This record gives sequence, structure tokens and C-alpha cells, in this order.
Amino acid sequence: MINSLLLTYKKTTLANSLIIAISLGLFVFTSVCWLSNTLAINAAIASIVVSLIISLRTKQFLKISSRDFLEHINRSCPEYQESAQLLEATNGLSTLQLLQKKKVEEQFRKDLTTGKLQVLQPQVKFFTPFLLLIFSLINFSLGDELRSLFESYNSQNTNSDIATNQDKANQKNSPTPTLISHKIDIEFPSYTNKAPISSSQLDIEALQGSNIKGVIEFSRPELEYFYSRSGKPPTAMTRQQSKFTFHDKADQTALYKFSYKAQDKLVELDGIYTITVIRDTAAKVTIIEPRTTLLEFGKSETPRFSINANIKDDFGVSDVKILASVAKGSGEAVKFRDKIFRFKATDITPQENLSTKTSGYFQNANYQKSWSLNELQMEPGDEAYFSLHVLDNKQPEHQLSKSSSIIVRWLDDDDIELALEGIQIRFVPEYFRSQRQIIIETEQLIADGKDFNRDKFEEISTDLGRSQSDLKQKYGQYLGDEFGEGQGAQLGLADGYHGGETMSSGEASAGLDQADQKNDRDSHSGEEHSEDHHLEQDRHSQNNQLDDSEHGHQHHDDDNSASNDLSGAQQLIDQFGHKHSSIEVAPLSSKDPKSWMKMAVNEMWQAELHLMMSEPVKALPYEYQAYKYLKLARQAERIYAKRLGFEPPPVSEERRLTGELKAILEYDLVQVDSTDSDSDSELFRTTYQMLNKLEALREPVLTEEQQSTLSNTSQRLLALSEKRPVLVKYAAISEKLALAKTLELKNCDSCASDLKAKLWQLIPTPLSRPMRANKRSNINDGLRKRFIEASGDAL
Amino acid sequence: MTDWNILFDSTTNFVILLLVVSTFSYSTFKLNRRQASRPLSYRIFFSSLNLIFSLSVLGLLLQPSFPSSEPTLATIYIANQGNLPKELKSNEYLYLKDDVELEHDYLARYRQKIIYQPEQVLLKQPTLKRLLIIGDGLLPSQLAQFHHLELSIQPNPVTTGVIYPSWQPNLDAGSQLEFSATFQSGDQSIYRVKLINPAQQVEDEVSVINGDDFVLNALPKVTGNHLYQLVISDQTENVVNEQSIPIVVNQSISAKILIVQSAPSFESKHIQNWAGEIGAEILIRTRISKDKFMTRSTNFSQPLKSKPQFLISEKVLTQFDVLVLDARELQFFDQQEIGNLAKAAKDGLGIVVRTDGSLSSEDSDQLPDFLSRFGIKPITQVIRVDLIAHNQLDDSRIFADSVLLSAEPLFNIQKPVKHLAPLIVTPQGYVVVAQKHYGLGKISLSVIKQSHQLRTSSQAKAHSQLWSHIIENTARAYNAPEITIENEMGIILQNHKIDLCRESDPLTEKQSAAESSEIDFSKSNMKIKEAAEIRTLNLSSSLTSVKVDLRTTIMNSRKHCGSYWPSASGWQKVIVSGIDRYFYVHPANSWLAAQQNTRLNATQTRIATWNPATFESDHQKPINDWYYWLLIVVCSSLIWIERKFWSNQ
Repeated sequence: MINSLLLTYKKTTLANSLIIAISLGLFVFTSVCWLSNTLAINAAIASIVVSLIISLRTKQFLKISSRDFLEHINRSCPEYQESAQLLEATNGLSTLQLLQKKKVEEQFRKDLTTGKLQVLQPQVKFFTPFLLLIFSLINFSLGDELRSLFESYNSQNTNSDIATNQDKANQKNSPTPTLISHKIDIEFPSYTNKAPISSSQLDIEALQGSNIKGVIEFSRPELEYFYSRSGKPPTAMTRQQSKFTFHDKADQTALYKFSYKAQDKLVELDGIYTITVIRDTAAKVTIIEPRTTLLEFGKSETPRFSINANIKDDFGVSDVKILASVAKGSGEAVKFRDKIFRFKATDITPQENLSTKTSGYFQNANYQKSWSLNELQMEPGDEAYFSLHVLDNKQPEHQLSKSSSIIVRWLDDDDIELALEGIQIRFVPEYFRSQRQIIIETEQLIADGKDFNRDKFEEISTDLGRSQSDLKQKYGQYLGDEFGEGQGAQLGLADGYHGGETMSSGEASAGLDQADQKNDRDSHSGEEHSEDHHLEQDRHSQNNQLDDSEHGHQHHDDDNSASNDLSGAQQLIDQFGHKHSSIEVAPLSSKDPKSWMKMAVNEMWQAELHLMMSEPVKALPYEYQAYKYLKLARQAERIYAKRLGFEPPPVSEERRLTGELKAILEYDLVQVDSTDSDSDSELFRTTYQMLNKLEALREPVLTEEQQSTLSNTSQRLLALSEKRPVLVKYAAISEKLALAKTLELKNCDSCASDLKAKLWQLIPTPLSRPMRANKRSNINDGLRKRFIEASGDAL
Repeated sequence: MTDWNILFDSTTNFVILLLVVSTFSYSTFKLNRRQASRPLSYRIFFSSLNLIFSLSVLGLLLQPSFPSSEPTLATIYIANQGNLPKELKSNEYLYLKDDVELEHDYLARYRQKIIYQPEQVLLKQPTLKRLLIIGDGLLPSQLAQFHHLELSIQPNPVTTGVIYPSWQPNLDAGSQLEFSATFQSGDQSIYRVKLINPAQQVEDEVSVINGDDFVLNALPKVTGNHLYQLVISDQTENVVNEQSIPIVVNQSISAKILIVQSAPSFESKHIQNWAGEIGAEILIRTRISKDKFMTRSTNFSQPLKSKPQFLISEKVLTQFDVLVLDARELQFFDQQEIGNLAKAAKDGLGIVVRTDGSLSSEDSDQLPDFLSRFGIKPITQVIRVDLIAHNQLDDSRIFADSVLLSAEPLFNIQKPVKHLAPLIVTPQGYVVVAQKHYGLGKISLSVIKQSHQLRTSSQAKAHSQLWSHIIENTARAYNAPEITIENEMGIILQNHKIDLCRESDPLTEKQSAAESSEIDFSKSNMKIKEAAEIRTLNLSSSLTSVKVDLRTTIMNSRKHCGSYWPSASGWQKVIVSGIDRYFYVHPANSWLAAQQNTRLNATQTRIATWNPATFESDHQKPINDWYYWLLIVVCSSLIWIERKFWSNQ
């Protein structure tokens, strides 16, 4: 009986251990399951086994024996009078012991029936398992949060450039070599005076002419590696211990990749990288003074003026020349004489503290020089054309920048020129193209916006804003626009009016618009006044001169008075008045080229504002509007253009008036117009359509033809990237897609859609087509025909 | 029991009643006699059993009905996402639209109150007489289920977005996408609406306030399926609404063009350059002497064999879709050529007569008969017109921006000319291109001068739009079979029914019902003409294919229609008899403002037009037959026991 009690005791103890072990296992499982289910199961099993082993190996469990159990009875039940051991004793008992044994056995039997001995059995303990269960539930409920935390941490680690040792080991075991580490050294051309830099990016951006050195560590250094750059044959990389080196020169934007030799064949590695060449920009020349491109001096004036220009380059200026051409005489007898001048050191004022000096010139400086036409051996009636020619320090060939020409006229009294009979829109023809260029560059900036960082984006936008400002001023100076600067600004006069100085007719014309507009407002016309009235007005104006700024109807029949009036008052009157002898007396109308141009300048103001605020998207509509008005101005101008008709060859006397038409031959011409006149756009269109269709498919696999299309696209994009470096990224994507034969690239989910978006931008806007109409009628043609025939000619 | 409404509407009913009452009276009399010794209570009890039995039989035979005591008013909440009623009382139901998701707790709490189709409320409350709709309202098809109910509505606050959206889901390459809509918002703030192209660039934008109509334009660059985006943002540039605008750009078939002119002109040269570059077949015949011609054909796969003198023949003209000629050249035509021209026009050839200054009042009188019927006395004054140029046929703009051209207007739109439709009208109301139908063809008269200046001034796009518009609306029409997709919402939405229809080409179907003398509606209605196959093309699901039977419609025997409920959003393709068409299914929760507006308008229209007199009726509830049978069985059993065991005592 004792043995059965002992066995029960052991079983209960074991059950307790098992319950605790299972609870512990559950706890461990819930603690680890967010990491990995397999790991959690393994850990749980391990913890159960360990827990059981520990429980079974404890002294507490090992000490469970019949002797100890009987002792336990003695301790727990005083009724046994410390004689429970007698229950197992069989032989050699004394009488007293026998008596005691009998007594104990009776007690034992009694306790068995009453169940008192059951109390001695260990209790099943639920507290610890219950606690573990609670903790398990808590773990389980927190599992999702822990998992997301772990995943985010894990993904951060994955994106990191630093590969773990484990990864490296895996890479080394992989049969296909992979890149383990890389370092790119870029050495700039010596003329830039810039220190070499190192980069950890394989997509390289380098100044044109830079030397590139790459040190690459591959997972299988025993192989032979090659560096392949687009358009060039692969070159073997130099081995340096376990690393490989390649050298290249950044002469043009290109793609490059690595390959290795296996069984006498070159096998390309995954990954296509870009070399984006940043070009050295030519020096920028801004003429600060004179503010107009045309300067005119009267015969009696002192022909002195100064040229003040700002010259800026990204790396330095090597030479600045002033080219002056003096024209003497007129008509066929005109003679030109060229002279080259240079600025003295004292004429140069550096603009920035950090402006470095090369070859005697600064990176950013103002250059000022005073001129006297007498010193140029000019005489009244001569003209001189000044322009600045700046060479930057780029090597091996310097880049030349030219300023706009400044035209200086020393007028003879006899030929005071009414320079503005009709606005000379084509006087600065290059600026018409500039507005178009600004639009093109703004569109490019918008399209490439995502590829630039914020600073670069703002820099380009501001630069475009300055160009727009320049253009606006160029037009404005012919239209009497105000710029809020200069002496003329205070009087609300045209730019270029220099206070008390004698004003040339060219400058005076600038204010004519204002006068014309005033005419419109006053609803007056010059024709309403008699000539007598004109004379009276003239006298009145001479008496009052500057007193009355409202005198918009003063007329001057003698232009010479302008040069005779040394005070400049006459010019001021010209500024606000108009002349019947001039074409420009006509009031502004909607068909007037000048009014179109003024509207264009207004739009330019807005465009400049938004460009300066780095909002090219907002600026673009104004740019277009300005461009449209300029075009309208040019169309309007054509009204005055002289038309040249066809001049037929002279007809001989024999053939004249004979009415013979035999010589006129019929002829037939058959031609095929190429629908893909622009092969680039057609290629981009085809590629876009292909990507668009493939995107709708699940896990598309590219055919050879599709790969070829993508490769062609890559080549074209690469060629275009010479002018637009951002396109090199898309050339690389296109090439990667072609190589991967799928639209889903590793580590680049949006590559295909980025390429698609860029292609859409590059495709030109299509023209409308001459289409056939699609009839949507419920009456069929047969019925209709019958009706028409029945109605005869009534239709 | 006073409310019992037993129908004595027939003699039979009356006879039945009389018989039952007589039987009851007789059996009660017999019971009282037989059991006279029994206590009164005993007799009353068994008399009552007899009475109940009789009434049960009577009820079973006459089927009387009660006025229903169930409620006659119910409320349906049509809740939008995030705007759910806090609690649903008795007789209140929540109609769960596809675009609304409920929290689990809410769903569990009101499971019995949630309906997935509005008509389910009728099953829950069959005696319903009035229905209050709280929310956006119901669609016409849903409202049709409640034709007998009196409806009222408490609308939700308006959703910020666009209503009445309209665009061309199918475009020809080179055509402009024109999106028009009305803006709706709950406040009077200024919002910015942008149209964004597939390259994520803004194509067009406009500032709007509540109630503003607006138009946004874009020019798709490539053929294929594209998704433009309509983005509405507030003043702080926060996006408040974003919708997809799907379009399918098709490569259209170019018209074959014949240009006949009295002398070389820049105008025709530039038309030839434009059409030639695009790949259209174009032939120019230029008169260089009285009977000498110069011809230039572009893009013809096989050169025309006809000599230039015989181009204006019936045989040659049938090979072209449109003939562009100048008015002066018309005067060189002999009677046979004029006859050929008239016949070709009757047969469908489009003719564009370009006056370009050559048509004076005197010339107009000398024009061929069919052209002189234009009855136009052109205004001799040449004006320079700002051609924003509205297309009068569908009131769409031809050019996005204004274009300056010279023209000698034909007439003013304020003084219309009979039989003459204005094709291009200036904003000032001057008609510069007019058109008339002539047989199957159309004749257009254009007085626009020197439109080629557009090409020479970098406005080639405007030039192409102008001539594309004139040619498309004049050229020979082709009755291409097409698949139409219609639905009551105007936008194809997930889980909303759409009607797929295909109209067959009468030229290929010789036995057209329209031509037959008798149309058998009963047969044609039931006949399954063909099946449409619909393929889902989105990435999220594998390619699936669904078959939809198209049946001949009663109204048009050439039209076959079927219904389809798209379960997945995204691009889908329908194929019928080898013809296919792509369409886009919007997610159920898109275009919420437009959906709200459609539902609200339909419900308000229904409320305004409902005539209560038509549907006035009392709601009666009959008693279930089982009760009668139960009472009959119980009573007859007790009466039988009483007769069997207690009668002898």
C-alpha cells in the first residue's frame, strides 16, 4: 500500500513539473513567435524538455523514496507515533515493535479509508502556470507590434550599405560573384583647383574631364573582372590583392557595368551604373552699364560713357577682352576698324570674398572702364560696337562667352535719326528665341524636378528667372517700361533717360507708349487739331516746358529743335508728346505690335516672379502667354513687311502673246511622307505603349523584341543625356529592364513607372489627324438611300 | 373583434356563413338537450367548443383579414463612410453600400438592422407605407422597388468634389481630352482643381468655388489606356479629393483626301504637309493651265490610274472620303463633272469648298446648283477674327487657346440660314464654316483665309485641330459596329450594374430587322444573339473571363444588350464577335460627390413626381390557416371525447 501511495506522490510531482514545463513552453513560444514561427516552436520544445529535465533532476524529486515517504507520514501525522517505518518492517521485530506495528497498521488502514493520507499527497500547483499563461497572453497580444518593429528595424538594416559579416559570408559562398565593397575616387581637372573626392556611390557625378578611379571588392576574387562602359570595349580591371581597380575619364555621360570571365566568355554582373558628366559652364557676362544697348550722342555733346559689367564663372576666368569696332562713313563707303582693349587691374572689383583669382582675373568680379569717343579717334557720324569677350579657364580649350553688343552712335547734326519709325522688333532677334528657350528650359526643369535636389532646383529656377528678367528688360527698354531702378524711374520715365543729359531720339521713343496710352485715355486724336492750333500749342509748350506733365498733344514740326535744346527739356516733351511726322503717333490698338509686346512684357513680369520663387509650374503659363503675344506682335509686324513677288524670266519676243500653251507640261509626283519624321519620339512612343501594356500583365516576361526596344531607348536616352544629364538615370533603368527581362527590378519598385513618366514627358504633343467620321445612326444606309432617291433633288 | 372585415362580396360567402351558423345552433341545441342534467358550466364549456369549431371552419372558408397592427413607417439610413448613425431604433435600417465599411462591433450590434439592398426593408416590414430616407438617396433602379411607397428624404451634407463629370472615354489619337464638371462643396472657399497626366504633371488647372462649372483640357500623347488624375486641393494645398479619369486613345483611320484647286496655294500645300506627315493618303490636283494639271499623291500604296482630267468621275470619287476644292475651280467643271460631284455627295462623299477670297456675290450665283442652294450672300467685309471657335455640333471648343485668323464671315449665328448648320463660329457669333447635308454626304463651306499662317507661326497644332475638325465633320461616315457601355450612374462603378450593348452593322447583316416588313418582338426579345466576353486586366487578380449573354432589344433589333456587375475595379476588356473595347471600373468609393448628386436628384425627382392617389390601399393581414386547423382539430377531439365517454353517463 505504501508503494502505491508513493507512486501517486511521484506522479503528482511529475504532473506539476509537466504543467509548469508546458506553460513555460507556451510562454517561450509566444515570446518568440513574432520573430519566426519555426524558431518559436523549437524554442518552446527546448524549454519544455529543459524544464522537465531540471525538474526531474532536482533533489526534491530524486529524494522521493519509501523511507522518506514514511518519515513524511511521521512528520505529518502524530497518530503514528514516529512508527510509520514499521509498516514496511517484516522480520526481526520485537514484541513491543510488533504491538506498535499492529497499532500503526490499524491507524494506516483507518486513514486509508478516511482518506486522511491523501492529504499527504502533493497538491497540483496552478499559480505558476497561471502566471505564465497570463504572460503568454500578453506576449501574444503584443506580437504584431513587435513584429512590425522588428521588420522596420530589419529593413533599415537591409538598406544600409554596410553588409553584415553573415551577408558577406553568404556572398562569398555564392557561385555568381557580387560586389562586396566599392569606393570611387574622383580627381577633378587641375584648372578647377578642387581637391579630389571619394564617394561610396557607384552612380558617379563628375565634372567633365575628371579622372575616375574605382576600387571594387568582389565576392570571388579568384576570377578576372572587366569594366564595360557604354560605347567602349570592356577593359580588364587591375587586381590589387583581393580588390580590383578601374580607371576612366568623365568625358561624356555614360552607363557602365562589370563583368567577369567564365569559360572564356564575359558574363555580366547585375547592376548598371551611371557616369553623369557635369559640364563646366561658360562665363556669364552681364552688362550693368549702360542699361541700353544703344547709346547716341549728339554732335555737341561730350561723348563720354563707361562700360560696367559683371563677369562670373564657376571655376575662373582666364581672359577678358573688349572688342571695339568703329564704323566710319555710310552706305558702300563704310569702313570698319577693330580694336581690342583689356581691363586694367584697377578696373576690376571682386564681388565675393571667396572669389579666387586666376590669371589676374577673379571668379566673380565687376569690370568697369570709361570711354571717350575722341580717344577712339571717332568723329560725329561714326558708330562703334562694343562687346566683351570672356574666356574661362577650362582646359584643354577655353570657353568663350560674349556679351551683347553695345552700339554707340555719335550723331552728326544732319542725320539725327528717327530710329523708331516702327518698332524694331527684330533689332535683338536672339531674344525672341530666348523666350522660347526659357519655356523649353522651364518645361525641362518641371519634368526633371524630381531628379534634382531642392538647392539645384531653386538654382536653375532662379537662373531662368534672371534670364526672363533680362529678356523683359530688353523688350521693356523699347517700350518705355519701368524697372524701378535708375534715374528715369523717379520720373516714371523710360529706362535710359539720364536726367538732365541730352536724350537721344532712340531713348525718347521709349516713352512714346505712355504718351500713346494717354492719348487713348483722353480720347483725343491729333487730327482734330488745326495746324494753327499746333503752332499755338508749340509756343505754349516751349513757355511752360516742364511745368505741365499732362501736355500730351504738343506737336513739334522741327526735329532739330531736340538737338538745339541743350537743357534736354525738348526731349522730355518728346517723351510725353507725339509727332505727327512719326508713324508712332497712331494710338495703340489691338493690332499694334507694340501693344502686343507690352502685354508680353506684363506676362514676363509674372513669369519672372514665379521663377524667382522657384515655382516654374506657375511661371510656365505666363511664359507661354508672353511667347504668344510676341508671336502675335511678329504677325502684326508682317503687315509692314515688304513682300517680294515671283519674278518670272523674261519672255522672248517670239513667244510673247502667242497664246501657245504647248510648253506647259503636266506632271505627276508620287511621294511617301514619313510618319515617323522624328525617330526619337516614335521610339519613345513605342516604348511607352509597350510598358503600358506590360504593366497590365502579371509578372510579364519581356520578349527579345521588347528587350531590343528597351535597349534602343536606352541608347537614345544616353545620347540625349549629353545635353540633359538627368536622362542618364532613365537610360540606366531602360537598360536594366532589358537585361532583367521583366518590369520588376530588385530594390526598385517604381523604376518602370518612372521610366514611363519620363518617356511621356519626352514624347512631343501630337497633331490632330484627318479622321473619318463614325456614324451613329439607327437608320441604315439602304433605307436612307431609298428615301433620298424618292425625294429626288429636294435634298 | 369589431374590426373584423369579413368580405361578403359574394353569395357563396353568405351561404357558407349561413350554413355554419345553422350547424352551430343545431349542435348547441342538441348538446343542451342531451346533457341537460349536467351542470351549467359543463354545458357552456362544450358549447364554447362548438362555437370555436364553427368559427374556425368559417375562418378557413372565408379567410377574413385584420387591419395590420404592424408599423407602416420605416427609416433607411444611407450612411457614408465615417457618418454612421449612433444607434438604430426600431423600424430604422442601415443600407450598407459597397463603399462603406463597418466596424465589427457596430455590425454585431445591429446585424438585424443592416440591409444590403434597399428593397430588403420590404421583407422586414411588408406593411410599409411610408419610407424616410436619411442620407444621399437611392438610384432610380432602387427607387423603382418602392413605387407604392410615400418617400421623404433628409439629405446628408454635400460631399466636396465634382458633380456631373463628363469626358470622352474613347479618343482618337491627336484629339483633345476635355473634362467638364461642376464643382460642389459645403462651403464657399476657393479650391484648386488640377488635371494631372500619367507622367504626374499638371496639364490644366482651374480655381473654383461651390457651383462653378469648369472645363479642363489635356492632349494625350500616346495611344493606349491611360489614367489621368483629377486632384482637388484647398487653399493650403491639401488634397481633398482625387479621382481617376480613364481614357482609351485609339489609332483612328485617316480619311482619304482629294484636293482639287484652280492654282497652287500655300493653303493646300500645308494641308498636304500636315496630312502627309501623319500618314494620310492625300492627292492634290492643281490646274496649271486651262486643261493641264499637276498632281501630287502622298502615301498612296498604289498610285491612282486615272488621268488628272478624269479625277472628278464617279468611280474615282468613291475612293475618297473628302474632297477639298476651291470655289474658283468649281467654275471650270463641266456639267458631267458637276453631276458626278452631286452624285458622289449623295452617296456620302464629304465636300469642303474653300472660298479663300475667291467667292464673291456674283460668283455665288454661278456656282453649281447643289452648292448655290447654300443661299449665302457672303459679307464682303473681311474681318480678323479671334477663333476660340466653338464646334456647334457638341458645343466643345476646337482650340484650347484663341487663334487669330482672317475670315469673311458667312452669316451671324443670330440670323441663322435655313438648312445650314454652323460648323465653326467665332465668339462674336460669326459663322466661318457652315455645313449642309446632301444625301448621305455633307458639304461644308469655309471662308477662313490663309489658315496656313498658323503653321508658319509655330501654331501647327491649331492648324491641325482646325482642319481635323472640318474634315472629321464632313468626310464620308462609316457605320462601324461598336460596343456601348451604359449605366444609370454615368460612371462605371464596382458592383454597379452596367449594360453592354453591341449594335451590328446593317451592311453586314442583310436580313436586318429594320428592313423586314414585320418584326417579331416576342421572338427577337428572347433570342440570345451573341455572348460578350469580359476580361479583367488588373494586377491584383489573375486574368479572369466572364461570359455575358447579349439579347436583342425590343426597340432596335440590331442592338443586343446584356447586363454585367463588375466585381473588380480596374481596366477590363469586353470582346463581342471579335470587336473589343476597353473600359475602366472605378472602385465603389470613388466619385462620391457625383454618386451623392445622382442619388439625391433621383430621389427628389421621385418624391416630386409621386402620385399618392394611385397607390392608396389598406394593409390587411390574414390569419394563418394553421391556427384554424389547430382549433378545429383540438375542438373536434374534445367534442369527440365528450360524446364517446361522457354521453352515456
